[in-house]
Amino acid sequence: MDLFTPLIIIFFFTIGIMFIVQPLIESPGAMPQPVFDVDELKRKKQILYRQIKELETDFSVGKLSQKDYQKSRDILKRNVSDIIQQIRHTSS
Amino acid sequence: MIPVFGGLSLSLALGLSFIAFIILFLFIRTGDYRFYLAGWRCVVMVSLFSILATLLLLNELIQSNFDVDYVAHYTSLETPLLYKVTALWAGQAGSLLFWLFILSIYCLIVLFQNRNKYTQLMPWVILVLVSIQFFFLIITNFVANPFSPTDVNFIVANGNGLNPLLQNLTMSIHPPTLYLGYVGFSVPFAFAIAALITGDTSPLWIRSIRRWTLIVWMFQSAGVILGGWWAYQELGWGGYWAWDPVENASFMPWLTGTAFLHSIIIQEKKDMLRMWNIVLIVLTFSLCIFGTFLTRSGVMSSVHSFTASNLGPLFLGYVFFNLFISFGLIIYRKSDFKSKRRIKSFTSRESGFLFNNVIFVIICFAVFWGTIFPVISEAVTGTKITVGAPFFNQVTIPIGLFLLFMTGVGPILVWRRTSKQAFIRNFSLPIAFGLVSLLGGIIIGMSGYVIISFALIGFVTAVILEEFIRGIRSRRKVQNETVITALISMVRKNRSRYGGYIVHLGIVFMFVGFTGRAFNQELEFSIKKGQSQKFGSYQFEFISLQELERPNHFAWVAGLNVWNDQNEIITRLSPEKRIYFHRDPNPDRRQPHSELSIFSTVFKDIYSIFSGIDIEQEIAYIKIMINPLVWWVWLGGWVLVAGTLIALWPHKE
Repeated sequence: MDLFTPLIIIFFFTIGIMFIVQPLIESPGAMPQPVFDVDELKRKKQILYRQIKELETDFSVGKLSQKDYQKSRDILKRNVSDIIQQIRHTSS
Repeated sequence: MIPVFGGLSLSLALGLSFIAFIILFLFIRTGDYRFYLAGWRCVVMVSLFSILATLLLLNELIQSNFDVDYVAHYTSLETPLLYKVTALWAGQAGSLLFWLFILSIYCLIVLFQNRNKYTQLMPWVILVLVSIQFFFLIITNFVANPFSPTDVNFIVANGNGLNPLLQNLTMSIHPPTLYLGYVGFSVPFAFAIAALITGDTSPLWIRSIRRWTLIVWMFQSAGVILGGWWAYQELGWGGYWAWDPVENASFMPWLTGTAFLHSIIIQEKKDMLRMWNIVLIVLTFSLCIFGTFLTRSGVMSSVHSFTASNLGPLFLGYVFFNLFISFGLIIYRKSDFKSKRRIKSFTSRESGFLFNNVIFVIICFAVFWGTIFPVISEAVTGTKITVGAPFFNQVTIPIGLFLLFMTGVGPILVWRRTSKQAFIRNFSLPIAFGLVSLLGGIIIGMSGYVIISFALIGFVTAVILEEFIRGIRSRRKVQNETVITALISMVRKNRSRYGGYIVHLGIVFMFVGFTGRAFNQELEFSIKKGQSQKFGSYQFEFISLQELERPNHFAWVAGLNVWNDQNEIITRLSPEKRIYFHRDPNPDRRQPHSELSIFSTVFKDIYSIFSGIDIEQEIAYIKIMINPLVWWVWLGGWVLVAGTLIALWPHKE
């Protein structure tokens, strides 16, 4: 092994270690905390919207009785409105 | 120098994967976000070092650096560039590194895609993924190191070269495709374990892993089909599926994975089968590791197994460890994951999904039992009793046909309960189609499973057509669109539903091909140049015998004109008899190989094998097989992939 090889190894190893350790040497307050709650609520809302759309398709092609369609749609709409409330509450 | 870098990358990745464990545990204990970020970065580095190691081995293979034992074993100076690349997964050490490589790419995707998502789950997801990486890093560092040097006392002038059976274009695509499927199931497994640990039953991650599962399922399906294609084109026995242990190893996780893909829809839509889904994904992942064990351990003799080793106990131990932890967690979380809703009726769509799931699992169990039976019989009685294709066919054909029936029934059942009116409305046309197919079959003299299969093919095709027609009608009624516009917008707006139906159509096409096997014919004969041989409605005329020397082999190419009963030449077949490593002074190292020539049409394949040659007498030994409807198996595969891509195509939120 020539002299150059260990130098390259040490160089990349140091960069790797610095990349890993860097968050640990920051003070806790300096770290940007991600806004998890609102994002997750928004994704939940999207899923519910999609579920309503799929429910409508199921009903339109006869995969669901009128009664079940109405009941499921009401539940999903109620869930959406709950989530919208939660998003407003969390954002404010 | 490069092999040193490669070995070092693997060592660093192993060390960092251990550190990642500790840091992520610290985050879970303290909740300090800095630990999460450091752990996250640590796993990024583990993945990058693993990828780097793979690229370095690839470089050595391309450069033919025979100082590396693996390179000397699986390539030679004559090996074409493409097969130097594919040698990466030809041997044990390389293929395990390749497993790690794909897992690392998947890890990076998961890490970056979910960086700010699933707060509770992600630390555990990362932990599970890095633990899988850790297992493969231990193997590639200590048991099967691809950078091990060749014996110092031995100068390698030229390598062994790649097994001729692996020097095939399909074989350069099939293993990576299958691996993309096998390894990909690690991600839904990691999410499932994370959900079990945290008790998270929300639909959020379910939606996310459903998409992921669909992607890896597509790879797994394509991998299985490509394996069949390779066997058909390369092995020279005229079939594409022999119930070989390695084939079964790829088929079993596909079965449970397919069951999972279906039942996860129920969890998403109805919040049912939560625990069942976790069980299915645990089984799928465990079967993927078990499949790697079967392929790599050498415990089973297989036409697809190109390595044998002492890795068996390690892999088996890992499978049991995973099952122990997973089922321990499942029992612990039993009450949290118990669904509140129950299936109301036997004729509901929910029960249709459940039936389909049970059938998949039964087939999987039958295949599993048949696969491991030789090992169990040897352990118990001391005699290895091999279970052959007749057992598998006897068990799986009737269950498979029932599954085909459920492929038709499932989509036309109604959620919660199918009323009498809905039953008549949805089932009339498909039943009529099925009956017409049945009658048609009887008239042309079919019987047994063949006729049942064709009747079910008619039934399921009608279901799929009916679903499309109904969707188009409903759209036209509301939107007043033309048929084509309605079809396009209907599929665009409901990609997963109609993509799924297209996948079902692909399965139907494949069943057409499977059924064709009942009509296979074959003839083996010797023939002199200028002579003809009649077989069925064809005449085979041996018109030429050419000798060719190519870079990595020598070949005799037979020219066979095929005449039909109207005295027209329909094709010219050119099967080859090859000798690989023909320049090797040691005759024992020269490897004969028959390269097939196939004339494929929608209705039948004419399959020719050049099985032997008498050079002095100029006699060729030829085997011809007439294989009806095989083309439909491959068409079905393409349709299946196309359907999955439609289902996966991203849409605007």
